[in-house]
Amino acid sequence: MENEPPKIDLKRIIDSISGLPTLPVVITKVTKLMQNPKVSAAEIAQAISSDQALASKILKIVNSSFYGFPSRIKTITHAIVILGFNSIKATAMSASIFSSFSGEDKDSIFDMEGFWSHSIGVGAASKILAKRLKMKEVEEAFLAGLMHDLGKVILDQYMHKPFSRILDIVKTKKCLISEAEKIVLGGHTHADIGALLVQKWNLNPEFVAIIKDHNAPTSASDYFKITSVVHVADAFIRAMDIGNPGDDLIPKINPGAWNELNINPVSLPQIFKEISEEVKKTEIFFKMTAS
Amino acid sequence: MPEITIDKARPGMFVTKQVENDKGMVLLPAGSVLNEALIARLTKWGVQSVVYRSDGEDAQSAGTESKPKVLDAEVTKRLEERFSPIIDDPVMKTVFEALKSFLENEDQE
Amino acid sequence: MSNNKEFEQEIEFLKRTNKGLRYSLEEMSLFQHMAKGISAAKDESSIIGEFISIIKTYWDYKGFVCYDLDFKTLDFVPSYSGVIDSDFIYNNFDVNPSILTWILNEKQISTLPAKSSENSKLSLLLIPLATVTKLLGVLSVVIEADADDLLTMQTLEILNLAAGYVSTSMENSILYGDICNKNIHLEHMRAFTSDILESLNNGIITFNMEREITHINQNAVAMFGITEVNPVNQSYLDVLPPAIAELTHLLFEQTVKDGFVIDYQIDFELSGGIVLPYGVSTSLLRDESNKLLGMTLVARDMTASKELERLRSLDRLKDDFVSTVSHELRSPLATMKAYIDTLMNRVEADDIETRDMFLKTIETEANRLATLVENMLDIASIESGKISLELQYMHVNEIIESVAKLCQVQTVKHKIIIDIADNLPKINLDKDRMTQVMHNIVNNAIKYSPDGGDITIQVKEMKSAIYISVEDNGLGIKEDDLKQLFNKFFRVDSMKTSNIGGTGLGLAIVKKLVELHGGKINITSEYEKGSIFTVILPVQS
Repeated sequence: MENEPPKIDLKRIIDSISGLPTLPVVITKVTKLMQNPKVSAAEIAQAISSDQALASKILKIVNSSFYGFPSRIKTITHAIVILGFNSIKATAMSASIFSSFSGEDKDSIFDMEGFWSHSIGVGAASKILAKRLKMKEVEEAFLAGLMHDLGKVILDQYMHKPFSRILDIVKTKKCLISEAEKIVLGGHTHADIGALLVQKWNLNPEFVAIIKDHNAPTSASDYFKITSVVHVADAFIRAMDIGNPGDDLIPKINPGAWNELNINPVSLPQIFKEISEEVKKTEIFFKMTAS
Repeated sequence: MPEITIDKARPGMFVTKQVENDKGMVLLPAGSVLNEALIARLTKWGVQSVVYRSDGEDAQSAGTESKPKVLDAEVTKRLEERFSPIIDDPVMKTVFEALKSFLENEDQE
Repeated sequence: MSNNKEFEQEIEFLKRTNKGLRYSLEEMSLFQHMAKGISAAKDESSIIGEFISIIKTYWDYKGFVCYDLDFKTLDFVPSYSGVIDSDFIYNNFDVNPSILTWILNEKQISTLPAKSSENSKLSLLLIPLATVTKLLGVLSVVIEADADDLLTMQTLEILNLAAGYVSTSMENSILYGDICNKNIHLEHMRAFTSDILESLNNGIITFNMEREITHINQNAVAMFGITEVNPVNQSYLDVLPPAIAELTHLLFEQTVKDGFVIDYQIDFELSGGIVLPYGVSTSLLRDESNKLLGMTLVARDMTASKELERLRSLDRLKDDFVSTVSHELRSPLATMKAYIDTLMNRVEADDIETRDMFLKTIETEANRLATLVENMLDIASIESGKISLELQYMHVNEIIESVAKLCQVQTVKHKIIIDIADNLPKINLDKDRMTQVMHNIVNNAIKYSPDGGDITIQVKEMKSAIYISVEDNGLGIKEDDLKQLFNKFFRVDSMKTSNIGGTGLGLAIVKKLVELHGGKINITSEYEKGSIFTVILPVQS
């Protein structure tokens, strides 16, 4: 009976999934090292270098137009001193996430390429918006944007049956994927799943909050502003028809979130331009697929 | 005298005609040299284009005139279709207008 | 036993972190102390000096070069340097203008390692100097240290903060320098300063030729309700309220043309609905070579100005006049019209009684009108100085007696008593005009004693002048009204007087006429007791 909302304990389900991707050990180590404000660039570089694959991915990214540094960066240490600790940490995380998830899954019924395109787009747009608003957490915004829809990948790769039902509903009802998810998952959406995953990874509570609330930012949250950034970025990327988020709709932007960002409508076309250019820069990440 | 749309303006460009807003208020006198802050300000004030003379590299693009703004019919149709269920929301309407404007300018590149 | 080892490592790491965090607190306060030094520094070189001293705390300092961004060419030009020069930097490091541009655009502090391995102990710190609105340049500092090891997260944070302070201070110092020496001639400076001193209550704004605000005083901020926290260096369009922005635009054009504008009047609405009249004056700013630098705008709050008050009160009077006159004119005209209408259409031809009554009323009203018009013409000619007196050397007695008789005839309730001293000298009088004066005064006495009573006219000589006083026991005049009594169109406004007719012109005319004779008029009065009007006319020798 599809009309009866099934009672679902999402956390139990997530916990029970085996083979759920984890963050590479390196990332955990780097995060810990960076808790000490006196940690040096060399120490961080050493930790990263223990994972050669990751290290080379990071070097590719720092030398790409993503950072646009007009000179060749030869070592991780240099990357850290030139681009900053936070940048490298964010880059390392982005590269890891991509590697963990973007493998070819023959059972996938989901447009993975479109999905990543959308995710990268939201990451880029979040970065641009955060910069414009002179926020400190520009790298965090990028990461959060990149990760905001990870729940969908979990659904696709580990909850196949419910997910295909969800996609069917989207097709027939022509609704937002979240609406379909709520029907099948008893009120839960990919946002909840993503939040649970990221919590399992022991990431900053900021990320958990952003991913959980990105469809419906609430001013009660400590992270309202950055959540609003990702929320608006998501709407913008959908409007710009970049990638495939699972449905073909543009959701209404939450008025509270819009007010929080206080964007001058006159500068919107310019913002779209900057987002479009930034998205082009992030294409380097596609080369990061599991290799 | 080459005229360009404001989004193509770059720091270093030398403005040869005074820039006014639609009320005729002078935003920038003739002879000013554009920098980031000025371009941002002009954009904020809704200036569409400036008449400039460049001293060097941009000379190649001096020949291009601003083409009439006509979006590809397909693109317009799809945009309007996708926005139609939400166009009554004032925020989304603003976004729609801005996106259209951005796409129109992008088309010319 | 490897578990033990890991455990020990963990403990070590935690200890280090703990230590590190504790040091952080101490360093933060040290930094704060140093940062104050940066903010307090007034010129570029001392600002950089303060910043370098912070750097020296953390590293072995080798020298610096400050690159300023040239707006016109977008080149990086070395300005200040210490110990080393630009060549040293280019020789030892892989630095180029596009890297500097990147640093400035990203507003990110970076370190570049040395080019060759001989000097591998050297590192180049690149610090972007920029404020919210302006890109200033890049400060490059050479330190001896393997930066990889010594550059920690925290020091980066501190450097970023310090760099921010440096940028803001630099910008302030540039402004300060401009105002002090570089661009404004000392003369202008003195004039500017004295203007400031004099116009402590005025709002002052100076603009450069790009119409950016270069200086604004607190008064201007208050007068124009400016909310922008940092209005200096911003366009007038961004800072000033729309009405003032438009005015500035207008005045700028005119000032460039004429050199100045004086007291342009505007009404400015402050928040809360208060409207203030401002007088705005402008003048051009030039430097030594007479090159145009910009414009100074001074706004004067004119509500306090007496001149404006006078203008205002005259305006009010004029308004009053127009309304009073129209009322006074309309009233008899309306009455006349009504009666004439009725007479023509309703009254039977043979109803002589009604006809006579109507005609009489019409006549009265017509007279009223005539008087009013007379009065107005009088005032007009007196005001414009067109009146001249026809003087006769005569006794004032005649006038008094004839006025008394005339007035007595018109009233039953009142008794007019004359008390003229003997042997009064003759004086020069315009008979008609003085009759008009006395008639008016006595008439007033009668009008304002509605319950009747005595009206005493006393004439005597004192101190080579003739004193003519008219005393009544009527309504009297309140002290506040006394001051305004002789003002044109002033009419006492109270329940008791509301139905007493008049234009308010009479006393004004009286005063003028008396003064034309070289005399004065005084009033003493006690409210509800009565009044004494005294005309004093000089006796010529």
